[in-house]
Amino acid sequence: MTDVGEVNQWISQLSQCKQLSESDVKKLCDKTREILMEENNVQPVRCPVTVCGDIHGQFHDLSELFRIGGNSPDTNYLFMGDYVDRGYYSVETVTLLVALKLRYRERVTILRGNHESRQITQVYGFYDECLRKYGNANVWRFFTDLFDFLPLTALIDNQIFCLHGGLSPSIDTLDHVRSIDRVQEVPHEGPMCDLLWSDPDDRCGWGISPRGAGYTFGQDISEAFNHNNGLTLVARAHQLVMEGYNWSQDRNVVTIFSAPNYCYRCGNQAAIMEIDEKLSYSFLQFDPAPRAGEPMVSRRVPDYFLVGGVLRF
Amino acid sequence: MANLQKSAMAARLAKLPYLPTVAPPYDDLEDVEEREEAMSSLGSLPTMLPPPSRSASRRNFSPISASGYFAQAVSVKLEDRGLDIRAYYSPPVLTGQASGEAGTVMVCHHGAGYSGLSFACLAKEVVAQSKGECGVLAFDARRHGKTTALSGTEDADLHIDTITDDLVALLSSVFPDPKAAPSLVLVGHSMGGAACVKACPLLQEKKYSVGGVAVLDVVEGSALDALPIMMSLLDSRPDGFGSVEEAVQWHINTHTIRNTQSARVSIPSIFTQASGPNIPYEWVWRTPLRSTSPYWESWFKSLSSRFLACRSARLLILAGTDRLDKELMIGQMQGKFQMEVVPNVGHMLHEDDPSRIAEILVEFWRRNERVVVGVKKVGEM
Repeated sequence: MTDVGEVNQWISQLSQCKQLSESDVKKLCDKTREILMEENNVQPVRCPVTVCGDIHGQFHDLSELFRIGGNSPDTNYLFMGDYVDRGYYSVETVTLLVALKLRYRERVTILRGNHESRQITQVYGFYDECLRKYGNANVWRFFTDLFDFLPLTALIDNQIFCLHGGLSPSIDTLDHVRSIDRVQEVPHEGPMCDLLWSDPDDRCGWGISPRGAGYTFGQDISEAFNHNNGLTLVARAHQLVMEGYNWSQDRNVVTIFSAPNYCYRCGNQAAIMEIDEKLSYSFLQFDPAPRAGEPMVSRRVPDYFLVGGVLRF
Repeated sequence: MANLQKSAMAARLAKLPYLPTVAPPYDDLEDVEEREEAMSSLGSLPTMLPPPSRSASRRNFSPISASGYFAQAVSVKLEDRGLDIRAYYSPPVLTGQASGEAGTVMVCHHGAGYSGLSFACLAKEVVAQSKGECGVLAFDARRHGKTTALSGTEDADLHIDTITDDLVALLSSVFPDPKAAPSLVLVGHSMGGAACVKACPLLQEKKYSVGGVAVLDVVEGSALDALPIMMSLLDSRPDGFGSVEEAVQWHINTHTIRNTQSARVSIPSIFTQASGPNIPYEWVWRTPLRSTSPYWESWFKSLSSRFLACRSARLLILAGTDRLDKELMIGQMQGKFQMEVVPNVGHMLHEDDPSRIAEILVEFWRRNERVVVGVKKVGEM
């Protein structure tokens, strides 16, 4: 039995960007798995709630997000995936969010993003970061095993459908989503893959996604989906938008991206969407937090350019 | 025999300005020898395995003929460009179920200093993995490999516009009727990636169908950043070698190429026998990279924006690490292209792990060529 005091202690340690011990991470993931197992593929969420997009290991920006949006549990949060990879603090970021989920299960919802996967994290940094910070891959294994249990989507007051990527040509109704066996690695194709990879598009109908996974969907698709399922809005993340949020498809879809100056070079603002008791939305935009002790990103050349004396021509 | 056969072969190659869709059979021993002679970069060097007395632990760096990797080697004269292009081709097998009537051909453009044969192992894998549905055309760019300037012409210029126009001219010559041409997947490594990206809209203007553009291991930001140090990097390269085996071995020992088999096929074509007095090496680089420096910036500048603007499926394959510049990072995070990062390979990734690169390319081709009713292709309006 994990006691509340211990979890509180973890949260306060993590809030200072200090990682937990390997054994504590194991305990954290074991306990949180029990909670996530009980959650639905379409996890019901009640307003008021603040909806957030990609974080990608930008821990200091997550702290800024809590300063702006209010601390958990004073504010209810719904995170739409992509906690890890690319930023320098994927370990601290994902550990904190999972600890908050464990401590305040009714007030924090964390969904799965396409980066919450074994395959993607081995390419984009989380795996390497775990090795660097713990000396072995156990922590990476604990988390990626936990990711398999994350819910795929959430439904705010039966009206706002939230997910990481977008719609799928194999899914017409929320009941289709509910019928997916989600406890698995993110597949390369099929409905579960699409929910985590698809993007809205200016073209109508379905399109092959340029990403190599998922689909693009037009306004006709999102309109029909919202209409058929009694929804007012699809809220999703997954795409960098320069203002931090972006309405599209005649307000059938909103994109929210919560990693400012993504990967320390993209120059974008971040945003979160506050939904109040009356289901009205407002957006809070924010810029990168001032950073203490974060490595400066210099434009290094030689090390990757000259691997074993190899010229890159 | 060599001279006579060479000229006979040259005549035969010259007869093939348009490539037949079926490979001419090489059905007797003489033909095989002749073909090996014509296709290996160095006909005079032994292509047999070393005698068994050689220690098993010692690796064999002797040249391997490209004949086992492509169906044909052809010479394509481009009078307007002043070039006699050496190309290697494995045509697609037309099954009737292929998406287009003329099938698909991956057109491979090598990087600076290399040759069409750097795609030899990849080509074999692509053909095998696509069960022959996807053909491969690779060639030696101007001033590279066995491509030569027609007499009385000057081929020094390697500006991006020049090599792009060469690529378009080659394809227009090989597939003169855009309507009857196969669907093209452009695959370019480094400098060749830049040429493919720039050629894409030009080919589409001429009504060719471009099913995809794949760029191998080049990113504008990091390439431009590195240019200032390139000259000093070049200083660490020997100017030549005593033998072709030595040149192959150097590429393996320095990890420039991490696949001995591939290096034995590709490297012989990028060396030529030294001529003139006072050259301490028997074999020198066909394309001394220092001489290409005036064109470096032209290859890489605006590459990212051009890549993102290609109206076809876009794929970027990087070796080892994710190292996008700002423009590509934003593009990737907006879902504008597919990116694959391949572990355990170097810059010559298509030589280092041809099987994995072929797998990625064939999957990319299948995904984007496949016609699904009601699903638009990338770039289709």
